[in-house]
Amino acid sequence: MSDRPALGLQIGDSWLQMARVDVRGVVVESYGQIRFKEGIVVKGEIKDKAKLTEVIRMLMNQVKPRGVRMGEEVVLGISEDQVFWREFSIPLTDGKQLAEVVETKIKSFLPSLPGEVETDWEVVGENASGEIEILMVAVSKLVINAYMEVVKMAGLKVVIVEPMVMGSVRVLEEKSLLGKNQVFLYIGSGYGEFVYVTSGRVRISNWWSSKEVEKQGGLKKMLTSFITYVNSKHPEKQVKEILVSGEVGDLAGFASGLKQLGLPVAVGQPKVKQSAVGGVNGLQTVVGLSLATISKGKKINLLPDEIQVRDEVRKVKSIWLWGSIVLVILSIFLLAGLWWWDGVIISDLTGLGYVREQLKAEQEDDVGEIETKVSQLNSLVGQLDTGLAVSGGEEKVLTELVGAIPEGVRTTSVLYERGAGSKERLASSQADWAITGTADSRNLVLSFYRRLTKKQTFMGGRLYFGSLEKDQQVTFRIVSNGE
Amino acid sequence: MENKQKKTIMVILGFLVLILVIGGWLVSRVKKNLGLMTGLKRETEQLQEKTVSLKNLTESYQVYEPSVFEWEKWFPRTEEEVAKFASEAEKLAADSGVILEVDFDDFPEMVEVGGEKMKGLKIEWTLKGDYPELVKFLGGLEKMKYLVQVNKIFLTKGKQINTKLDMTIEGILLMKDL
Repeated sequence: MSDRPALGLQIGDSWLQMARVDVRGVVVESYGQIRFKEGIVVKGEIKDKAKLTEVIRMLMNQVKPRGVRMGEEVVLGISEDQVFWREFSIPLTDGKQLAEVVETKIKSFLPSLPGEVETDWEVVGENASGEIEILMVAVSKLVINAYMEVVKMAGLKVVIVEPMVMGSVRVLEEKSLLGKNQVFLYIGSGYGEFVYVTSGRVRISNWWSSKEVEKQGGLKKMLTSFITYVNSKHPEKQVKEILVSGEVGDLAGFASGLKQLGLPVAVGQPKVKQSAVGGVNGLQTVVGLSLATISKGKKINLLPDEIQVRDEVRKVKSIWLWGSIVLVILSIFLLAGLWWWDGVIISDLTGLGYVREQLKAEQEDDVGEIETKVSQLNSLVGQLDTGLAVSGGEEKVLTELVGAIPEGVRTTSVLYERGAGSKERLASSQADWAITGTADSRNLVLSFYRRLTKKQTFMGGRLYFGSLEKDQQVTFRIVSNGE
Repeated sequence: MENKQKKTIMVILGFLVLILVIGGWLVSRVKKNLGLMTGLKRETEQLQEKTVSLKNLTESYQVYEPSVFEWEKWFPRTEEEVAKFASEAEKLAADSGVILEVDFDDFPEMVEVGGEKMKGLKIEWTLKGDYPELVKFLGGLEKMKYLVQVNKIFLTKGKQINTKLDMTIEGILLMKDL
């Protein structure tokens, strides 16, 4: 069963109706009706399955505007002639426990019912004692199976089987039902129904044909009897209003005729206000049947449990199957995405690899060249530094010596030598040197010595006289401290 | 119907297993390639940084390149360049009024200069001149664009009276390795 509207299928004793509403449940999208000869269905019981199948197929082709496709989901309305109703109450319970209690109670009724039956139930209210009121609906399995077989042979799929009256009430606007105890009078084509409804919940239903009305002495008399019966069964929920609905053209006129019964009479307002096809109004039972799959709340469904379970299993399997297919498709997309991403990465890797190789090749040339140049530069600068540090200073040696020699002093030899392992210029404190000479007097030698040793190049020198006895042609020697 | 459903389920399960296997393989492949990509990116970035450094170094070197050319001239490499140095020294001597007699070793050798091993050619020059002339020569020698480590200066009086002084210079002319 889906959340889409199903095709409503109502089978009477001499007529057949099909209708479908739109997804919002406000427009009758398709409708069809066909009459067939009497005897095929009698008081809701199928007497000739083959003929009925044929009639259904004929109607499927005649439904306007486009016919009915094979395999469509159907909500089947069963004639009240074949429905057994029973009201009972149970102490206030809830949830799963409620279902168990109700099922137990229903089982206790089964021996009193004719043959095997399909049952379903719904909560319809609460009585003055605070107990929960339950409506049980039962239909013979033979009847249900016969309907199922016929519909299946016609090529349709039944998703809900319910009493027709449920469809008759479902089409009405909720505001005309809520909080009211009403007798709902539905006038159909050659038949009618009295239904006792509290807050829109069906409690008692009485189906009759036009012929029976005559036998019973008229509609008003029958209705009065029904109301009397209902009030006796439900003294705390007496009927307060008569609600008229159905396929009669002048419902308002019909309703005014009932006012003499002493109760307010209202005309039912349909939920479905428009129709895309002719010959149908929004109050018809078959429209209510079509609304079943999209209406909220628990509803009576006499479809055999095993079929309901099988449908549910099929639905779960279908969901699983489609989910798996979607998963597979998504996974394939994911794989394709991964494959594409991998391709992009490989492409990037190739590009980067090429850039890396290019950079490496460039650098190999550049690095080799620049390293050689820089190495040469460093070596050159190093040599230059070292060379500049140790060269020069010779002029200073001679200049300072010449500047210190006074008139009357004559050098005979001058030796100025770089100290061992010296990292400085020639003229330095590490140098070894020696000066020999002659002078006209000792004083001149002393004067020379003083002037000489004041010079940076000759600092710390020591004086030796060749002979101190004579004061003329004095010989002397001045040497560095380390000499 | 049941068999068909089972078959469908088996096919879908098979697909899912296949997808899982391929997906696992692809994920590991992508992971591996991403790792390679990260490594390669880092390496390329380092290479690009190195390229920039090299460019900067090259530009810096270009600033010094003309000087390198000049500085290299300070170190004679060949006998021809040594001869040029000798000629310049002789010209300096002549300009200074000094009589110069140059003497070079036959071959350069590795010598210790300022604590480092460098290629050098030993020289022993004899000069004749008075003090001012010798001072002028030595001053000129210092200014020459050659590097001469003078190890010894020896001055003696001329052998004849009123003659000029004799000076001997021993040293090393610094050369460039070829």
